[in-house]
Amino acid sequence: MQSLLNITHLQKKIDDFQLGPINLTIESGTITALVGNNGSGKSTLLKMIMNLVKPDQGNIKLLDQFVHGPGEDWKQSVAYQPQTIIGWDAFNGKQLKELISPLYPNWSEELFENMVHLFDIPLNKKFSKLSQGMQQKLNLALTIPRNAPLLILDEPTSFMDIPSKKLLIDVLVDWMDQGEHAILIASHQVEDIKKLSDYLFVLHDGEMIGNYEKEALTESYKRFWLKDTVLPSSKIPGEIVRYNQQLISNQPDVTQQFLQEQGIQWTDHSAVELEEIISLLLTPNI
Amino acid sequence: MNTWKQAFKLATFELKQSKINLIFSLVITLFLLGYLRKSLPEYVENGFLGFDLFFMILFSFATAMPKPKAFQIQNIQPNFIVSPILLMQKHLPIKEEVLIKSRFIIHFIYTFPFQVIAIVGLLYLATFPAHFSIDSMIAFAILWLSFSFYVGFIFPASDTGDKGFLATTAGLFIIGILTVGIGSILFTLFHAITGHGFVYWSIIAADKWPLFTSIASIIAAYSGYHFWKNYMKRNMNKIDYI
Repeated sequence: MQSLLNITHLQKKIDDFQLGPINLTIESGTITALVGNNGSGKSTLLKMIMNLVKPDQGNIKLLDQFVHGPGEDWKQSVAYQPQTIIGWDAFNGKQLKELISPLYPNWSEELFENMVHLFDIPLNKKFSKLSQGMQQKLNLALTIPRNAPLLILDEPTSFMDIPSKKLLIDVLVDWMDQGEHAILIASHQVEDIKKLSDYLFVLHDGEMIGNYEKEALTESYKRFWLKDTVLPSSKIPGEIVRYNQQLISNQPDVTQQFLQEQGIQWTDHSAVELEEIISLLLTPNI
Repeated sequence: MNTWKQAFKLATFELKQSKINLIFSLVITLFLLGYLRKSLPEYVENGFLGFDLFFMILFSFATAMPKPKAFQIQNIQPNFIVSPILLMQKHLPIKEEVLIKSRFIIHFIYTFPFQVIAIVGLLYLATFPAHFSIDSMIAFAILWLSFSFYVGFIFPASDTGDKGFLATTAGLFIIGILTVGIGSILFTLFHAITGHGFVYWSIIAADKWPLFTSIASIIAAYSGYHFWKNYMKRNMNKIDYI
């Protein structure tokens, strides 16, 4: 697989907030969900990829071109949907399409029209007159058809209704099947993350927690339902958290072996929901 | 496509939304032209600050004031001021050079044609010294149209944004007060020391040294354009658009 985006040792300090060091590689054919608490630096990281924010240290390379270098050709290789849309208010969808579509050589008019139809977007209405959900839909209809190798979406569904969210997931899955693309999506929506992502890149208060393969991550967490026995007060190997007679481990084999050795019995063990795993990753001090 | 062509195309996108506003620019021009034409003889005779002030405002930014609010520089964050449309275009694969030139073109279209109308109208309608030759008139026109480049282009340059205290509402208020205060002091001092205002001396310069005035003005305009262009490049590479 081709490496589209390479981030190495990236750091940025903004007032008291420190982002990074961050290392991340995104390969074509993959969808990476950027997950983090509020104010963890997700949007800042995406803006650094777009060269809207300058790093203090480190490098970002998009298709082997330095984003913060003098060249600007990389910009055609990335389609970015910001969380807050600024500067579109005076225009309607048609006018915005006239501006945006000629800038991308692989613009798909067919996909644009499909999305306009699918989301029932009024193209003749000024952007400022649209509801927030409709603004988001129009923004997506003007972003995905750019057909750039890397698609960056910052909270794309935060104002969208449930049916539209489902439709968008279908659009993105179809789009991924149609070429050598990758998606980097910042989202708090667990359903988006569950259905779309291959990888989870987790940030907490600016610190990189890790980049996890989703399936491997969900398989690595297990919940043990323990019998009514007294547990050792010290941490059990693999233990992440315990509540009453439940114990969650991210090394279930090691935990299981320890429990057997100590004669601690459990009635059942089960998978942990992705939402809970993310919560645990984002609560590093438990 | 060369960068000027691309910049013009980009500017057209914004200007198409500004047709009515350009009519307001014409109204401002005609209003100021009427005032300046009427006041010129008295200004030449006695000199007063208001004339200089209105003249300089007309030949820097007055006609760009009716620009639609959506295209005007504004606070995006409490301490971050920028042109929203420039920010939007920075998300797109548009070369920095094209972005900068398009800001100049938009300001130019909002100001230059109206300034030409104003200067021609003034030279035609107002009472200039009797011996003011055609050469002097051309020099006077070049001097003030050039002024709109090296001073007026501060406005498109500011579209690239600013951050920190000076970009807050309080900071902008302080800048406004300081500009008016310091400007008034300088104007008053200039009047007090030389006995006349800037416009008066520009009439004298155009009258006595038309060729020198024209060449110096064109050089200043050229240098001003490059100064603001480099400023915009530097600023865009310094500011965090967050």
